[in-house]
Amino acid sequence: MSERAKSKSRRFKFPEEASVIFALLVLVGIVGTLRPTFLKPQNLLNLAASYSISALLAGCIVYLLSMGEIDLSFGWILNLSAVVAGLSMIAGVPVWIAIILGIVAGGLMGAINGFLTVVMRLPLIIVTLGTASVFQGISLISNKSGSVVPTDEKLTSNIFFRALGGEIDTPVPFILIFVVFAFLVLHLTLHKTRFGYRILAIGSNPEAARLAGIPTKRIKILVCALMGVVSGIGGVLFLGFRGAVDPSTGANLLLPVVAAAIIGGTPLSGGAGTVWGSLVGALIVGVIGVGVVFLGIDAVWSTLVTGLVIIFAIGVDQVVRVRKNRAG
Amino acid sequence: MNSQSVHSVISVRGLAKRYGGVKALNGLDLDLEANKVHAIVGENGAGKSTFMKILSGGVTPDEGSIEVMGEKFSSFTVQSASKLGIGIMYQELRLFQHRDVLTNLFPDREMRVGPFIAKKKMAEIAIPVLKSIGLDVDLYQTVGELALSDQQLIELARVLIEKPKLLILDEPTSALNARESKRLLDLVRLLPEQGTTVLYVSHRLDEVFAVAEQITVMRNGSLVFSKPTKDLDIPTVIGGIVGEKSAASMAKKQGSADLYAKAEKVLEVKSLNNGGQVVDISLNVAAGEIVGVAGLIGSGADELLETLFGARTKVSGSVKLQGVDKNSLSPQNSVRDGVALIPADRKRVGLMLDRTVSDNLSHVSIGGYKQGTPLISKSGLAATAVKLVEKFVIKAENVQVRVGNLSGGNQQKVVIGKWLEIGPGLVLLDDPTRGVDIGAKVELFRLVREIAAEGKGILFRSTEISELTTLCDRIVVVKDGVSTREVSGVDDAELIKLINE
Repeated sequence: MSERAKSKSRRFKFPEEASVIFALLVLVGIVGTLRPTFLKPQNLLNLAASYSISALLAGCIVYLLSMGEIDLSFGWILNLSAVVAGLSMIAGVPVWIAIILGIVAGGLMGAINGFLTVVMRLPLIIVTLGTASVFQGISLISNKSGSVVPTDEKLTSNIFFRALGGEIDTPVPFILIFVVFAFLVLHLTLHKTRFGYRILAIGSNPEAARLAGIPTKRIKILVCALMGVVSGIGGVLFLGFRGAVDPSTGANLLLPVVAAAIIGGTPLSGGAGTVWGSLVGALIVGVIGVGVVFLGIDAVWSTLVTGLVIIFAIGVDQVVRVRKNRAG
Repeated sequence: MNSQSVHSVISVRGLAKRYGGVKALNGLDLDLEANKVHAIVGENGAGKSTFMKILSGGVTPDEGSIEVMGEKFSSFTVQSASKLGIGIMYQELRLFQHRDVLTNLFPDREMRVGPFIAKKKMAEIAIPVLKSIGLDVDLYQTVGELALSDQQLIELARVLIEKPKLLILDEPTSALNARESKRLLDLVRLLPEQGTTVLYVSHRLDEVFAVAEQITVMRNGSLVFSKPTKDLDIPTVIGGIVGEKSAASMAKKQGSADLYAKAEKVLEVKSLNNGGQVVDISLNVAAGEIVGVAGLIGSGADELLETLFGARTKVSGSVKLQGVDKNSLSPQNSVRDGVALIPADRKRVGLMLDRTVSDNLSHVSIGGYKQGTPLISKSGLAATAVKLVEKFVIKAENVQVRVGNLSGGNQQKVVIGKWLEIGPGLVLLDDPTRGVDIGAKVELFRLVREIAAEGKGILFRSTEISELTTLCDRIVVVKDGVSTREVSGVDDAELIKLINE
């Protein structure tokens, strides 16, 4: 039996992300055929760069979905982290320290989410329904419902922000390199470490995980804090990218981020997740958003199309799953 | 033969069904005489459930004929089965938990006056049926609020309302305790008098012997024998089910109380109390010993193992592992102290059903146990899994198969395998043979003995008395949350007396 077991596992299999990559190529192909300028490398790189923050968040929300949870507050964590970093800069804190403060603030907010969900024994979705408004509220109070704009020289004097702003020449936008590297780390952590194994085990069956001696509460808090840290990084990137935070920053992130993870093939039921899939998913969301504009269709249509693609992606995923279960 | 088939409710000849390369039924010939309780026993995969599914019309046979009350059928559908009065009560409850009893008794065949549901008419039919099975419940009570045993009886009433000529019962007592099972069996025994022939499918042989007049044994899709119960005894039936060779390994273990005196103690429990059913339990387990826990459901025996593992909170009492006092019990601490729990509800809390055999086998060693690097590799997990699959003879096509697709016995071996991987000193087995067929049970027993022979202490709780007397060196009897006495070398009848007195 073991011989068979070995030979089977060696047989080549398509990666589970193959179908999403195919879908992305088809979409790019369609838009590219109709509007060849879309395919210019510079355009594609710009597209990728402008969706890189939501891609980064999608890569991390995969951790929560794999654990059977979902965070609704990360958009406001991003906002408040950016506000913390921005106000610190304005207050004269050195830029590097301000960046770290923003990220730490994000991690703290995430940890608060995790702590509340563990202590109150409530699903994270319910906890973050509340904390989202709390974080938004604090952001509004602290910047008095206005934008936070650190002075230009503060931002431009920092090498990190200069690279982000494209002032340092790199063949591909610096933010893309940064995000791809982050994805590599997120992927390896989820699939090649004990921490990742525990996340998936909790998502698959929380009670069995507890009885196997897995510290489920600690892992939950850690994953929530990680989501906060990544949202904080997203906030800092946003600040560097745009040079300002306004009260609505992060408000419209929930749909594209969660959509990217789901389109990428991560189920909502927990116990499974693909980080790379969410990157492809984020690009699909991006191609739809930008492609609609390129095709001369009113931009308001992109939300509708994104919705249809989500439904389509979930439908295909479900059909594949049912087939697989029958075969098994 | 001919005269016999006249009285048969059902006769099948040469019934065969193939799934891919597997012969689920391999030319079955069988006559079921009318107005009797028949039992069908056999391992999982013996063909019982395929046979039942064919009788209910859910599965079409490849070959063979079915004769129902003198009428011959070559194809048989769900509609023809129900028209002929064949009713099935499945193992799993199929009740609407949030709706009332009456609604549940008439699923999708409620009576109407015009467009309105005629509750009175339905109640008039339902009340005598409920009375006949001794079920005294309010018709308008929500089913989910009832005891599990009452729910099982409602499931039965639902089938009986249709007045079936043939009633098929699939493991009807799997959710019931001893007293409730007896109530159900008494009822089943009366059904033939009311014109209902019963086909009773169960793993529990004591029940089969208590209820059936005729016992049919199947193995590998064929009939082994079908004889009147009075001509049979339990060993003969087990021999028929598993084949003669494996039956020998079920043989009784010698009570070896002297082992306890010599070996070092792995577990010492004094006056354990969990604020719930466990009130005052004391016991010891020595290395290499199998200690049984006997008690009725609700006696505290069923909460004891989870409390010792730390899955339930300990309120007072002392627990010593390998001579060291353990004050805070938790699953995490237990894993590190080398205590394994094979939980009773395997599917709900023991496994990740949607994940692979390989992932499940590393559940404890990677998930709970803190040793080695924090980095893991899929091929490393698979290599370990292949070793464990071989060691515990887990039947799976390969280690990347979903655990949910394995049989109950093999799932249980995965749970045992994932725990033994960390080399525990104490293994808590909580009713490990639940939902496991007799063939797999024989293997599990062999496995448990091997584990004990390696010098591990084993605490074994079972709801089946014969398992305790067969496997254990000593048995602790628990009543009303208190460990009342310790026995060794008792037989089934004595032990049943002890836990009930």
